[in-house]
Amino acid sequence: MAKSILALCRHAPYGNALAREGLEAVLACAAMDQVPEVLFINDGVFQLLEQKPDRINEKNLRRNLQALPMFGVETLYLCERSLVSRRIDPAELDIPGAELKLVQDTGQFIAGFNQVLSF
Amino acid sequence: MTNPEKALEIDGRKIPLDKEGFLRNLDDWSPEIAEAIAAQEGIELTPDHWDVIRLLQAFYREFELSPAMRPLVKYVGQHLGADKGRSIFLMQLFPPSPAKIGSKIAGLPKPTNCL
Repeated sequence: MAKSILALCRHAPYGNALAREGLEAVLACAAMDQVPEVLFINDGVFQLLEQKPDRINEKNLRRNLQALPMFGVETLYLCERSLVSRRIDPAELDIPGAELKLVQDTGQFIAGFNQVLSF
Repeated sequence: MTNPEKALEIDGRKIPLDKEGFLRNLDDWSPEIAEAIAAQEGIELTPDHWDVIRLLQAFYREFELSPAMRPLVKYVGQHLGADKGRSIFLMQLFPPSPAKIGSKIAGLPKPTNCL
């Protein structure tokens, strides 16, 4: 049986490469038929907000994230506490083609995977 | 001066390519350049090819990345119907690696997760 893989996206987009590295790892896994689950937690939840990165000559990470359903990642998990503490209303977030699910007990959720990639 | 990089010559203009034949400057793309890159790959472009080339470009505009095989199959299926959203159809058009060869002809960057 295939191992279950979770990618943890913990960092805000831009400023460093972690958010993008995480996305690329997820896409590479998916291209190898190892579709991981993805959990946005801590400042990683900012990745899902609308962005205007052309002002800093960066590619739009959120636009890239919108490709996840095309790569077979159809559920995106969000840490509820991370959203609440940053005053982000889940209703503001939308990735077409993906179902967003709030996770209350992230520790228990993460413990359910064979492998965890952390970005 | 030796130039290890490849270039296409079209109407007296030199179009720089990287060593795998992808456009260095995506703004250089034109249908004539697509024909020239396709010819280098031994492919003659038909209306089916052009449909997929346009979809590759739409995919890039929508998601700002080049598709791998699986998302390309899915995207083609969504837009051209299930009988064309199949890897065999794309393999016949852009052998041997549709995501890579198709992206090259459509003037997209090499798919980053294309291993």
